[in-house]
Amino acid sequence: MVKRFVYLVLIVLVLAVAVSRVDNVVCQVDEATAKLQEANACFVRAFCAVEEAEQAGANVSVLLVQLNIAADSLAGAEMACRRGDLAAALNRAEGVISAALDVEAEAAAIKAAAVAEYANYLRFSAVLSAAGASAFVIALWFGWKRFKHWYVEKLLNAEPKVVDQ
Amino acid sequence: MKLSDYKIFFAAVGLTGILLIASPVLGVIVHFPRGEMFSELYILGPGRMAENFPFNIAVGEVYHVYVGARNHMGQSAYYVIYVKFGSNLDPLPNVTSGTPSPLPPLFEYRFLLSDEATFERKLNFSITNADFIDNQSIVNTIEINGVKFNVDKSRVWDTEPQGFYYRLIMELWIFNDVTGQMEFANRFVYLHLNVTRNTSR
Repeated sequence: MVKRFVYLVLIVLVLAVAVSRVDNVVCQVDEATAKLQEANACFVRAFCAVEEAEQAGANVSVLLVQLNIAADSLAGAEMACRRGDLAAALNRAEGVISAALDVEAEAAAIKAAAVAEYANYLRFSAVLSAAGASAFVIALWFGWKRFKHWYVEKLLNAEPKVVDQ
Repeated sequence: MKLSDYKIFFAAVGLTGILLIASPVLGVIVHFPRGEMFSELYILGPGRMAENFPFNIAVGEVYHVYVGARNHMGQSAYYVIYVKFGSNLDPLPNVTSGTPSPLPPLFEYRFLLSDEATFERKLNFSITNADFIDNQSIVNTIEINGVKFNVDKSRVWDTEPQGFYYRLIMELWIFNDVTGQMEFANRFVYLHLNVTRNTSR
């Protein structure tokens, strides 16, 4: 009776240890997958920020270089996860998140600077163009007036000429 | 010429002058239509030319090619090149329906390219473990750029033409900022491989 009880307790203990190990592995996989998803989301946000900065007229070549380094790490994290190397996947994913957040912040800053610079340029160009066009039209109008006066004078001073038939 | 003709001439000069002076502002406001936007994917042989592609692949030997992509999308783009391995009976990507190959990706390149920029990398691959049983071959592992992948792909002996035929497929995917997802860019290339037991011919 006692022997049976001891065997039962041992079996329960072994099962408990096995279940806890499975739980631990499932937790690690979940953590790696979640971290990888977060890394992908951060990377995409950083890329979109760089795109917006580029469309605003900013020079994003340095940011692209930084983001390409993060892209390489992200590829490594994805492959590590597919191969089951969860520690490597987690490690690389964290590096990607950190780099992507830096790039996103920098992209937002240069976008704001580019938008302000563009607005100034547009304003300056519009004022200069309007002033230049106005000056040109006024000069052309005076020129037309003088030409018209000269043409009429020339016409009035012209002598009739008799032509033999 | 009559006075009215000179008047038209002065008006034309005036209009031309106004357009020239206002051209810096007009250049910013008016956007001319762009040409076609697309992405390129290509593969080159070991000599960086479109020739001498590996075909007869011996187990344990390392082969290399160059895989590249070029951006003609008018702005920076985010790309992934997935490298997949399968037998020649596994379906290729379908560019008509825009669907990628159902094979799982093994190796991948992730990169960003500015407009008109090129990405090119060396791709080293090797069949590290394969079994040949009667008229069947099973490729167990393939190594790509130093990373080992278990593939377990089998193929029976093809009699016409003779060999164990596999494919190393490279697919180009691009990030779509409207959907927020990576999408198959309808571009793929592949190497047609004959896996052999011994030394390559």
